[in-house]
Amino acid sequence: MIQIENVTKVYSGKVKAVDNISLTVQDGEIIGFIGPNGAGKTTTIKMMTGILSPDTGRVLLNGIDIVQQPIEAKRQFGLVTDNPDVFLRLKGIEYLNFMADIYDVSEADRRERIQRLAETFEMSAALNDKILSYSHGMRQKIVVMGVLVHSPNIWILDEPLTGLDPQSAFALKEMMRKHAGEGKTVFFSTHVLEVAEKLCSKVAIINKGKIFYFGTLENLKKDYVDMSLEEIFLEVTRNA
Amino acid sequence: MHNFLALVKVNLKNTFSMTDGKQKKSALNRFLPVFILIALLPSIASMYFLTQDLIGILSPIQQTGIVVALLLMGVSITVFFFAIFLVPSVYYFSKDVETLLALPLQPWVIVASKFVVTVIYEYFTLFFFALPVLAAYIVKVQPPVGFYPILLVVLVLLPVVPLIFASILIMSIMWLVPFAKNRDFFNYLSMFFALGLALGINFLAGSAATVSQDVLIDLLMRGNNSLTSVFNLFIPNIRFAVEALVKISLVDTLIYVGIVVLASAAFVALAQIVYFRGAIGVNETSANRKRLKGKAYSKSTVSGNVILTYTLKELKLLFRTPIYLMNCVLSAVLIPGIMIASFSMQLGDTSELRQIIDSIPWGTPQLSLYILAGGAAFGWVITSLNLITPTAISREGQNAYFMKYIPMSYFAQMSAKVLSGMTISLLGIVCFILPVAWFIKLPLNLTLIAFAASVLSSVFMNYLGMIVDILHPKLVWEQETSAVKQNLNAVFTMVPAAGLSFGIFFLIGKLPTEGWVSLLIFLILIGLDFLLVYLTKRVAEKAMPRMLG
Repeated sequence: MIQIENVTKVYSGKVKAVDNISLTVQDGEIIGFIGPNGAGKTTTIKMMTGILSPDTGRVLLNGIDIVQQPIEAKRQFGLVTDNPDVFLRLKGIEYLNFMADIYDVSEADRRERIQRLAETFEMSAALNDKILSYSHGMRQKIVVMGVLVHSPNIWILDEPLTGLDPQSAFALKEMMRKHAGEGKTVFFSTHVLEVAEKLCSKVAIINKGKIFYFGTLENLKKDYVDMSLEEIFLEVTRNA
Repeated sequence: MHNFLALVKVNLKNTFSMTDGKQKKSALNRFLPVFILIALLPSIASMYFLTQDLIGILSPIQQTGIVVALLLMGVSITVFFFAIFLVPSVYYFSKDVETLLALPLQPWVIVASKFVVTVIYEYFTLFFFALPVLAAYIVKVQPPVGFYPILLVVLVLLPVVPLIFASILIMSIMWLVPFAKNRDFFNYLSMFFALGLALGINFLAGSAATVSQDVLIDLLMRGNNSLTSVFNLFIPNIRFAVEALVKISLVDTLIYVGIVVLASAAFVALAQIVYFRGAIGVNETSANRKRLKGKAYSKSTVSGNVILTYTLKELKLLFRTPIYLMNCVLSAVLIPGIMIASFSMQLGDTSELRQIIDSIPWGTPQLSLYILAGGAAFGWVITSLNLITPTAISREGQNAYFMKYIPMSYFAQMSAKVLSGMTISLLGIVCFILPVAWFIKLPLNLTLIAFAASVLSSVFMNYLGMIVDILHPKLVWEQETSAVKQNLNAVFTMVPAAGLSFGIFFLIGKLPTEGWVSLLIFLILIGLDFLLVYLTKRVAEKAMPRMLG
């Protein structure tokens, strides 16, 4: 479960990147976090994961405060950031093993998971090469694999489908469904409204640092009859 | 021409920009020039006074021109040596060649703009070396008015020819060495080759300047700066610069300028052919795409202690990134290596130096104290030179957020980074102390004292570098070079390193030469290490949560 309570972040004392937002994501839910560029999505994710400290409010991950008990809270989630260019001079397998060590994954578990994930994402032949030699999509895959190798309870994904080929995107979406189906939590930001429509149990629409809608898509559509999700999104953000 | 100036401007901004443009100047940034001045002050002062002494000796025999020749020669060789490190960074590892090639720019514009950046970079080298020597020369010799405009011309153009030599050397290596399929290996090989060659040229230049005793005495007797002609010199235009300055000669000045102009034009023409062939695809890396199976897979997925795993990751990145390998690892091993090489060359079985060393009474308490101090000073200095911990966070760049979301305490992460610094420091210490001990036949107990002292001082300096980088990380950069070479954090460790090194010798001079003094100094060194470990923990816990925020 993720609880975001009255969280605000102000940059340089002036710009309110996130303005007093509150959200509760229950176990078993997939939440799509939608908003235009600069709306405050990444800042929110950074506060959820301890990269940034909120100026006010708090974030609880499975009931653990990310500021008060950072190490315990960080064990609850896996994060895929919007930049897959990490540790480019490590080999894929070295990166995955490094992540497994950081999250204290047993040898048996890491071997089984890496093998399975490599097959799923068609990365088996690339694991022994440096990440520097990977394409953008392959880098995205290795970062996703680095999260899944420690099998976290909460998945927090910032634009996870960017750069993935159709097979890998499909596989990741299936994994997200399965993860939520096991009573765990998925929180991901996206620009692709169709993905949110097909995948999410709820969406949160953010613009100019404020949440304008949080709930199921069915309820949102009831308020905007005969409009596509794209039109609804434009309408909501235009009125922000 | 407009394109050329625009590109020079952009390159300079990229190369010398110190902040991300968003943050206000921190107190540390504001006081930076003062810190740098303090760091350089002892060297500047000693160069000034040394020059004055030299002029005092040369003045009665009318040979003060030697100072000018020595200065221009020294600056040229230094520029050449630094250029061996600088040219690969600016021309090859800056990752902008393929972007620039897609723009409607003529090849000469790209080459010439990069060249201008390297020339401006080298002015810092020139400024540091030339200013104190010239100040002493002007005060003592009081040259005529005509000296000053010629001096300005000479100084402005001085880095050009050595830079051209270094650039052509590097470009030829990058073009000709036939390992194009494996660029990483090729890059490393080029670096080692270039370094070897640079050292070779230095030794050759040194021996080329030697002349027989008879010729030297003859030149000395003639006076009127006749001795300057022996500084003949692998940089061809320097002799004209020396003549121009010593004799206030317009003709020599014009020849000097002419050579620089011709060399520059030839370089730009040549580089257009050689440079792009070597630069395109330089950042590509090889890939085998071979599936890991059986034992190899099991070996690659062995679990390990988290701090050791983190340390290993740091070391892999240091060794596999050419810029980091060159500036952080090789510097730590190379400097002791050069010192040992030049020392061993002078130390034959029968030399005077050998006889002096053989007569040293190693058993005295005073000597063991100085060995202790020497070991500690070496640990401080060699560690402050390797740049690993003062750039440990800076090198993460925009990926530094990784440190903030993994379930590992900041102190544990900092400890792993320090451990990577310690590994390289130890390498430098072992590479220096063991051969020196062997050469001078140092007794085992004294070797151990020197080793222990240098390890303890190295721990101190690694943690100090870590604290500096936690407080003042340089995270906004486009090229790896900026994270290490244009990162002034190193200065903040070099100042205390120099201060402590002087301090410990000063302390020993004041204290009685008894056994308990050694014990006291060891206890102080250990105490300082614990203090720094504690401070690192406190600073990391306080400052890291605010980083990137």
